[in-house]
Amino acid sequence: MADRFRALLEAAREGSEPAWSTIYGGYAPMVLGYLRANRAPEPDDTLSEVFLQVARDLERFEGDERAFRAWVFTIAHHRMVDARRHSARRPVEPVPEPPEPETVELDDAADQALARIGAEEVHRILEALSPDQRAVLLLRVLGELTVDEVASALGKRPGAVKALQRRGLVAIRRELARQGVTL
Amino acid sequence: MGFLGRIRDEDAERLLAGYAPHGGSLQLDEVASFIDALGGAVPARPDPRDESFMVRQLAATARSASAAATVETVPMAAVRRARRRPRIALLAKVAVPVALVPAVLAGLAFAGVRLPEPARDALDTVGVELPNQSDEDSATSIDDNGASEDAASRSGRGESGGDAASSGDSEPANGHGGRGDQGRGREHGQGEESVDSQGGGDGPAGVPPGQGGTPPGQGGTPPGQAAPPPGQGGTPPGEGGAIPGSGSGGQSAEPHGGAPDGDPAGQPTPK
Repeated sequence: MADRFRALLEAAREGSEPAWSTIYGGYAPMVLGYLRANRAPEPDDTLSEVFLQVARDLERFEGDERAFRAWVFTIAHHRMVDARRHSARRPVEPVPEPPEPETVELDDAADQALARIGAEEVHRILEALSPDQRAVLLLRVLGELTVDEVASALGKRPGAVKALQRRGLVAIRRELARQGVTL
Repeated sequence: MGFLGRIRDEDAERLLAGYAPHGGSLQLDEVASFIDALGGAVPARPDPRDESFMVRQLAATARSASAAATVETVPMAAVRRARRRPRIALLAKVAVPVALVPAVLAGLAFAGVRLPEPARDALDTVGVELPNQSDEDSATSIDDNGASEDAASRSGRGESGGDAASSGDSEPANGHGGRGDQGRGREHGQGEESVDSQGGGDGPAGVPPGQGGTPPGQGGTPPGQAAPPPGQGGTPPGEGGAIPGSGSGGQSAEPHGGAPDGDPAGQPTPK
């Protein structure tokens, strides 16, 4: 498994389109979901910037699949912050949200959970979280980053990340109870 | 754990992994289900029409980045050398002239040129002794140079007579160049004029012809003794030096001889 991933990265470094198709197909949905859930401005453009940076810097990357995932999400978060700053300096006319994307393949547990609660409800509850809580929980869940990796990506201390995720979970529980969502 | 109570770190970790905490409440089970749903609801597939274009872009970007990294790796040594080169060039620009200065000074000294005092002092300070730089040598060498030139010119004009005794010997050790032609205004062999227009002529009588000058090897003013004062050192014209018309033998071209050797035969003084 590790060898296969290493070979994939090596092929991607050499510019293999199939390798990049595999990487993009595997990570882009998660990254795009992260950007949209965090209300990143122009998430599709930001997604392109994220992967172009991945392609540029892949030569310097060292690590396994888990480290690669954390690396990609760290880049995504930084590009999102940049996009927010850029957007704050140059406000643009809001454009209508693109049509809801088709869902990606899910594992059984996620599929069953999503069957009980709609995607819209999930997004609504996420909206109730603070930006930091949302970022921490999404990086933990979507990116499968550890507390330390999240702390590194967000530029916070691990203790602060733990506090944010605890408060975020409490907020989710409260919202679930308030909206009467039964899972 | 109350409904709105705190969540422990270990419970949070289990929730984020999609599991309900051990002995947790019903609400925490719901949170665990929400986290599961989150993993399915949030990911969004990019527009498939953009995907193929994006993949081509990514592959091209990776290729160019890889090529750039390769190119960067190879010439780093060259870059470092190039950075070092200006330093070496600068060092050479400074060091070569600095090294040339003493060499040039030494060359001039060997050629018999009297170097300026500061230059001699500087070289003395660093322990370099230059030839032909003593006071006596320098004085006489300049005289001799002047005398030699004069003798050469006079010989070309047939004026060599009578100069021999008067040219170098009566020269004060004040280093004036060109005094060798002090007797230029004289007639050949005639002692009517002062040898030295600056006071020569009333000095002690010169050496008789054939006996004038300093014996070979003893030429010049002895060390520590200045040349005769002006007006006293000259040999009366026509009385010293070589026989008129005998050539420039008395007007020795000896660079260090001080006074002409006064070779009776008018031959150049052996060195």
